[in-house]
Amino acid sequence: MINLKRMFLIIAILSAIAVAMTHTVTLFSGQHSWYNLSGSGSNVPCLKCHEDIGRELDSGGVHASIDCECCHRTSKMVGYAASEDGQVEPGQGAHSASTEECMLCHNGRRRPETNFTHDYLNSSSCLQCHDSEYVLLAAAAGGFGLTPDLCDTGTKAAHRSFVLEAMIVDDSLMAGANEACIACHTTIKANIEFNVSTEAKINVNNVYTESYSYWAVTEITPTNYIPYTEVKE
Amino acid sequence: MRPITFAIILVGLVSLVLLLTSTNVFSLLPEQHKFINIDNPSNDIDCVACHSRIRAELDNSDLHGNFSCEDCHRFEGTGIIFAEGGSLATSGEEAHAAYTPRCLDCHDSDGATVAGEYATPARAFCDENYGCEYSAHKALVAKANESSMSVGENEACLVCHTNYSCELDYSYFKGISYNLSSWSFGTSFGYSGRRDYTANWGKSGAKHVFLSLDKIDCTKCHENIYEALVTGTNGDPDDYLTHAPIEISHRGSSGRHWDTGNPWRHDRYHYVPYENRAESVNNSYCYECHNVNKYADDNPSLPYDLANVATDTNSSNVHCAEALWCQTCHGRTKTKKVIDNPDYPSGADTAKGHSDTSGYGDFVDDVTSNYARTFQGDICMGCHEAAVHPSSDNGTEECQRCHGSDQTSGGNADVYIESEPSGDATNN
Repeated sequence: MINLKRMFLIIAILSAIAVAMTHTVTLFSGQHSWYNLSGSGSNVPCLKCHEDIGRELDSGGVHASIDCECCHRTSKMVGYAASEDGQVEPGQGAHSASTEECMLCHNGRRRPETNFTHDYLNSSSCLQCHDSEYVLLAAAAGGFGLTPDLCDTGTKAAHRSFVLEAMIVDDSLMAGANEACIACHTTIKANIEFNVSTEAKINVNNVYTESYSYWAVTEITPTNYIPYTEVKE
Repeated sequence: MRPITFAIILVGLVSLVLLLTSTNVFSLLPEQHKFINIDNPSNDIDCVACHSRIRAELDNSDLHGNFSCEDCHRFEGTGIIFAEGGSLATSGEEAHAAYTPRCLDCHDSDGATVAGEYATPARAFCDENYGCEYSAHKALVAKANESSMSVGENEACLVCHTNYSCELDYSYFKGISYNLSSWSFGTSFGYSGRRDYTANWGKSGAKHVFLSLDKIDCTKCHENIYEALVTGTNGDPDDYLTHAPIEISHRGSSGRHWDTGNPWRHDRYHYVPYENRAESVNNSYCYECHNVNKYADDNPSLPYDLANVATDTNSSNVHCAEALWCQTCHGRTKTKKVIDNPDYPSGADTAKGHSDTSGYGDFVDDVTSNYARTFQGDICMGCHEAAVHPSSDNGTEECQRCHGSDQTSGGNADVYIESEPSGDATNN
């Protein structure tokens, strides 16, 4: 076993050598290695901080081939920080990235109606979305009455209230209807608190005179609500 | 410092340093970027992940248990455009992933094939304006369609055909009274009071547990009728049981005049023996009157000439039950027109009865023409309840009340009878 006094001596000597050296050791290495921001698109590697998201995207399913900027730097309503050809934009609504609605891409709108912009994307990103001659636009999330397609009425959509509720700004967890979108289209876990009627209350009145009568069902109302929880794993 | 304390502090410090110097941040909602593949040209989203309870209900269902969610909720027969993935993705129009189906989407007049099974048309209710006026539950179906509680007429379908419970709050008349004099009421008819009755068919409440037809119990929603037929109002020697009449005759076993051993030589059609009323008053019993066509099909060997009786009714054109009145089967031109005791001693009234112009007149048809349908059953029951015909050695006195002393002119009876479930009656 190493003698404790000897170990302290070694540490002290090593420390003295380090102090005597001409180069100091920075506490956080690389903090002065700046990224070159002069190119188009985002030049900051998002995955350095968001590696878990990168892994999620790489695990398969749709969007696996799409860079972060294709979603998070594509709203023309934002104005991101950017630098290209000596022109510097400092950023307005957001600096590097914004949290955007799924419907930014999936609302079925074309230019000029769309709020989607390619202005902040790297030109090499094109094929990530436009990799097929058929895919000119991200598929519209139709069937909720939210796209410009006149046939998209959403009048029979079973989940329409879920989507519309998710869009209410004052009670928003995420942008737009994203809560509803990701609940179904991703593997995110979800606890869903249902409150369902288990009984109908029906009022039936016999309407009559001496010579004429009929049975009138005057009201049907749902009653006896019970709560239960669905856990989407 | 104790070694264990030192170790804990060391681990804590290391963890803190790792946390503060790590370049990774943690997502607030993990897996929100793990998108599900929707490359297939159908639904790739697992409905059951959020709706496992409904799947469990279907797994315990008598019907539709073999259906997938998509079979009903992405039913293609409606023309609805649902969203689909695939290389040429389809944007949804009327619905995205799913719609709430109307039961009649499949059970319409054409029927539909779903998951290899033929969905039979919902007879009558699949027709224009929900079919003929004689369908007993037409008002319920029409109101359900007006209601915003569910899609289309589904509320009406659910309360009978699934484990979705229902409470029915009925309101109707309490009682009627009349003086029967020479087979006419004159101006004596009147109704009085109001009765509120609640029937509750409590089930599990599961809308996706579909019931086989034999489990749809008429007496649950019509418990007042069941009580009227089984419990009624206590009387001596007979209880006041209303809604289904006895057939009155001179002869009967055990000194009674309305059970078997009668001049018609068969078990009486409406009569239910006391000893097993609770069980015998069931769907089949209801069909005896309210769906003669089905009852005839179910009981082909019965001696009541039911094939012809069925043609007197509208039972082949209704959904499950016919709204009818006594005249439907017992009117003047009907197979079971009212006749008197066929072995009654010879006289003017022999086998003519009071639905024959050559007998006591068109009494049954007159009642049908002049009084509201809701009262007509009780008008008949005012005389045809067993309890108002107490047994006697010769029955003469009881006959005279309605039939008159000479058995031809008609008597004079003051009648009061209460609606279901009490059925209490006086006939003096």
